[in-house]
Amino acid sequence: MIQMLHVYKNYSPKYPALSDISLNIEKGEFVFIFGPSGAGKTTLLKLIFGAEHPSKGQIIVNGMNFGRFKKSTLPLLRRKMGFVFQDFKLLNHRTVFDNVGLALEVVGIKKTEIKRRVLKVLKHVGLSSRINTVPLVLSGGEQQRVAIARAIVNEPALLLADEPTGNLDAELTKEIMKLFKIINAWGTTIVIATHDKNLLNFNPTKVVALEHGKIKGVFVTGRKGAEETATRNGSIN
Amino acid sequence: MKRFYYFINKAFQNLRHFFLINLITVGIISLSLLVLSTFFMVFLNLQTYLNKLRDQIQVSVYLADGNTPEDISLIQKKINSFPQVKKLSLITKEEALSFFKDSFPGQRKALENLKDNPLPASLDIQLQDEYRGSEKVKIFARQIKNIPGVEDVEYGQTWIEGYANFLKFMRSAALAVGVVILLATIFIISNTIKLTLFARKDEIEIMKLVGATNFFIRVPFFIEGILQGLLGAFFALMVLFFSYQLFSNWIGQSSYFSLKFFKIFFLPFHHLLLITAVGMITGLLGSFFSLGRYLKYE
Repeated sequence: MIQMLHVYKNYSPKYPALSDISLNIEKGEFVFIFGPSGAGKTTLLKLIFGAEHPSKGQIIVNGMNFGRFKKSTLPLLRRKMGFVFQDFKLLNHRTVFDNVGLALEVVGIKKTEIKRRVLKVLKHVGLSSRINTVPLVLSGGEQQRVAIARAIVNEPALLLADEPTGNLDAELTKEIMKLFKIINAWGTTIVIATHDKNLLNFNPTKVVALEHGKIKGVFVTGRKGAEETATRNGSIN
Repeated sequence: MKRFYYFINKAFQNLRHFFLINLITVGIISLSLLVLSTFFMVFLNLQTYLNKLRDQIQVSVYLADGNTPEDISLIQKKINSFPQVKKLSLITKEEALSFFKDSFPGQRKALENLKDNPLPASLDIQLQDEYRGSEKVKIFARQIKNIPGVEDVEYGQTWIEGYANFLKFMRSAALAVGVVILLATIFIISNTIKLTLFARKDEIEIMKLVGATNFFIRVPFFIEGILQGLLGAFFALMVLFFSYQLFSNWIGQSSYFSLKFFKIFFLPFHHLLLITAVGMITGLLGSFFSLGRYLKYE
């Protein structure tokens, strides 16, 4: 699903954001990118969804080489991905229905089909009763569920989440993580960037530990003693 | 077609959703276009007024007292043969006196004491449009003066030269001011739209994240820009029209400004279309250039 080969990203030559990242994430995996603030987690996600371009190295996502494809095809690639952010990134003047439907609207899907799919996905995330509400009157957990619904409504192969529980309390965090697990069980590859150690207990998951823009190690959690399975080159297999 | 309908619908939805910010934008566009259209109106009226003044230019030919009616008839014939002459009218000595008496009733008594009528007979000449330039009038006056029986020719030399200079100055000044106002209007409108887009940069970012193409994001914004320009022009012209009505009524009632031969007029239809087009095109271009920076692929 995602392959990164000796990827570098430099915003300034003195302080590289990412150095020599090699990574292989298989289809259907649930992966945490874990590390403290400034470790390069968000940059890594941005490289995966094409918001940033690597200074060096190769990135292949869903069979598409980012170094070779035309920039104008980026929207097509993004339609096969879902995104969830710490700050939800919802349109506050639009209803829950409109927010979720947006991902289908841009693809040009018919209104009736949008309605069917949005209602179905809102049922999955437990927001059927909030269809006509605007995001600002929802709780943080509900807003994040709207964002997740929007991310999965077009049944993406890959879901990327950047600190998705950063604004939520422990209970809501549990709820959201359960939702991610369910989505993963449907076959969607999930990559979550987080600094929160507690999340890693949602087992068993694979963790790519980042520090100062480098891969420090790759672990599988949830087994006794958090076994380190990989390697200096960082591949997860 | 279906897509186009979708974009139109989306643009109207956005205008409604961002009502306040759109209201401010339309207000600013209206003000800018109001300045531009007021300038247009003042300029057009002034130009027409000056043209009418030019129409008033006439040459007065004073005839020597010794001319018999036959001589006068001959002089008239000679003058009429000039291509410059549009209309020629004779004012006899008696008519001149009567006109003088009517114009200066206070002097009536003084005139009655005179044995002879001291006023000369004259010919008033209206010139063809193409011969009303100051140099041309000067040449014509010289030619007329040489006709036997003509004593003097008057055509308001200083006034004509002053008028010609003023017209020249006004045209250049109007062009310069017009260009500055037009550029300022374009600048203000495009920057106002830039600000509204800045307020909506999150929306653009989200659209990009869910896989919207630049075309899909752009088109509703373009339509919004055009609609803002259209609404701005509409309000500007409404305000201008009502101000014009008030002003004309006030002028009509005022004894101070009595413009007998000139009535202030509103902008003609094709100028209204022009102002509306400026609003719409600037709205579209404002959106086009401002969106560019938010739509880089990232």
